[in-house]
Amino acid sequence: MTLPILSTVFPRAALFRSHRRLFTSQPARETPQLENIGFIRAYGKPVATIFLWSALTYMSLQAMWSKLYFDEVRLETEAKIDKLNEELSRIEVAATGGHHSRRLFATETDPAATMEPKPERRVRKEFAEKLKGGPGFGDFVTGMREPLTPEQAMQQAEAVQSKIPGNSRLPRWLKTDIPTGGNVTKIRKTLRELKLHTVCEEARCPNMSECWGGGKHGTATATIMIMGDTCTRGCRFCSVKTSKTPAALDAAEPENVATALAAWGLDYVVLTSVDRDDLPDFGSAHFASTVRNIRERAPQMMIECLTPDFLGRPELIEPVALSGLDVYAHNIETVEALQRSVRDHRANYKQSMFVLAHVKKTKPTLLTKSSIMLGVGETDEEVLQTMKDLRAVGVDIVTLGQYMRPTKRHMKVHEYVTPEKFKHWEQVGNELGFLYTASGPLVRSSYKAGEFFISEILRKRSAVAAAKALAAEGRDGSNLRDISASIATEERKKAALDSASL
Amino acid sequence: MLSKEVTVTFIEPDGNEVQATGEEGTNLMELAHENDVDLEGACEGACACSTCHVILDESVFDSLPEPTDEENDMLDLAFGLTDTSRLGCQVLLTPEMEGMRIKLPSATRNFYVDGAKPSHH
Repeated sequence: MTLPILSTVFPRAALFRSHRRLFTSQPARETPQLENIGFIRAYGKPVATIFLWSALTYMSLQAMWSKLYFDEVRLETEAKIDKLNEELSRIEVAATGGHHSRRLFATETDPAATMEPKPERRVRKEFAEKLKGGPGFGDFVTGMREPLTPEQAMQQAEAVQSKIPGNSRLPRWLKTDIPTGGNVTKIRKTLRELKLHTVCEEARCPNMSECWGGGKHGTATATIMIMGDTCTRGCRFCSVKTSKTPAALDAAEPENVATALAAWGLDYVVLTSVDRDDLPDFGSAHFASTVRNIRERAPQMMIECLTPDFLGRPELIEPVALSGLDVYAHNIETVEALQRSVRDHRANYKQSMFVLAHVKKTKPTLLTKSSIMLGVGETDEEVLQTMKDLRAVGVDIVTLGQYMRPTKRHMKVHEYVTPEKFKHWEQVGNELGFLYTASGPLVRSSYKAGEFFISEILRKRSAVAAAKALAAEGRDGSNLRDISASIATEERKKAALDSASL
Repeated sequence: MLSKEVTVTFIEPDGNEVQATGEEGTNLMELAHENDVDLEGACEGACACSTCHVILDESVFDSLPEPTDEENDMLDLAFGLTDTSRLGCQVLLTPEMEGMRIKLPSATRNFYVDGAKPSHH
C-alpha cells in the first residue's frame, strides 16, 4: 500500500524500500532456508481464523432466517384466530336478533332491544381492552340516561322556546347579511397581513358586509382598532375582550398602522381604540403618535378618531386633539340616568361631556362627534336632553343607533326602536343644529362615516358652491379634505356673519 | 375518570328555578350561561364589572374562601348588594356545594326597566 503512494511522490525512496540491496554495499545474503515446522503449525492459525469467522456468519444468518420464519407463522396463526372470532360473533349477532350494542335515541323505538345488556366480546388486543374499560357513549351524552318519549321531547323543546320572550325576537328591519363575499374576504386578508385589528370584527358589528363592501361612492370604511384587542373596562353592551392586564403596547404600532393604511389607499379611515386604564397615560401618547404617523404618510387621508375618555384628564385629551385628525369622536353611549347601569363604572356622563367640550376648546376648528345607543331603557325626554347637552358642548355630528345584544353574556335589549322613531330623532337632530345627524337602527358611530360625511356636507352645500369657493382660493379641490375644509370655512364665515347681524 | 358533577339551583328574579349541573371547578357565571340562566357577564370573568353578582346561602357563603380585594371592589358597585353576595365568576363549584340555591339579584342598576327607585343602604 505504501509502496505505490511512495513511488509517485518519492520514487527514489520507494526504490530504496523495495530494492535495498541496490543501495547498500553489503554483499548479497544467502536466501535463508525455510525450516520444516510441520503442516499443522504452518496452516493452523489461518485455518482456525477462517473457521471461526464462517461459523459466526452462519450462526447470524441462521438467527435471521428463523426470526422471519416464525414471524410468518405467528401472523398466519393470528389471522386464523381472527377469522374464527368473526365467525363466532356473526353467530352471536344472529342469535341476539341484530342489536349487539346499546344505542341511545332521543325517543324510544324498540324498548326490548335497547334494554338488553351488552354481550361479551372476545378481547383480542390490549387496545380493545383499554377502550372497553373507559367511558362509553352514555358518559359523553349527559342527561340521556333514559330515552325520552316523543311527548317528553316536545315538552323540552317548548320549554326552551318559551324562555325567549316575544319582544326579544329580532325585528325584520334589523336582519343583516352575514359578512361574506369578495370584498369582505379581501379586506379581512389585508387586515391580517398588515396585522391590524378592527372593532368591526371584535365587537361583532352587523354592518360589516355593508361597510367593507363599499357604498355607492365605492369607498370602503373600516374602523381600525389600535392598542390591542383587549380592553380594561367591561361595559355591558360591548363584546370586546376584557382583562385587567392586557398585553403591553406594541411600540412599532403607530408606524406599522400608518404604513399599512397608506399602502391600503383608503379615502377615509376611522381609528378607534380600547380603553387602557392600565397605562399611566391611558394610551394618549400612543394614539396621538399613530395619528401623526398617518398624517405624515398619507396627507390626503381623512382621519376620524373615536377615543376613550382618558378619565377626563385634559393633558391626555389635548395631544390626541392636536395630532392632526379631522373628526374627533367620543361616544356618550346613553342618557345620564343609565350611565352607571350601561357603561363601565369608570365612565360617566359628565366626564364624557367634558372630553367633547375640552376638544372643542383646544381646537375649535376640529369637528366633534358623539353617538347614542337606543333601546337600553331610556325615555324620549332623556334622549332629547342628551342631544341638547351634546349640542351645548359644541358637538357637530351625532349618530343614533339601536343597541343589539352581541352575545348571551351581555345586557338584554330593552326595546327595539322602530325605523320611524329613528327618523324622528334625525329631524330633532337637524332642528337642534347639528352639522349632520345619522339616525337609524343599524347606524353606528363610524357606519359609512366617510360616505355620510361627504354626502351630507356636499348635500347641504351644493358642489357648485364648493367648487367655486375652491377655484377662488386657487386650489385643485380634487381631494375630500380640501372640499370639506373649504365648506367648513364657508360655514364659519356664514355663522360669523349671522351672529354679527343678530 | 370524570370529575365530580355538582348540581345547584339558580333562582331567577321572577321566581323561576333552574337546575344546573356542572363539573367541579366551573365558575357560577359559566354554569349559568351553559344553562341559559339570565346572568350577565360583561367582562367575561375578568373581575372588571359587577354584572355576574349572585346571592348565596349563608352557610355556603361562610364556607367559601374570602373574596379578594379586587372582587370586593367590584362587588361594592353591584346593585342590591347583600351580606352573602359574591361575584359569580369568582366562585368555583365544589362537591360541598351540591344542592346549593343561588339567588340572582332582583334587579340590575337599570332603574327605568323595573320602575324601581334606588333606596339608600
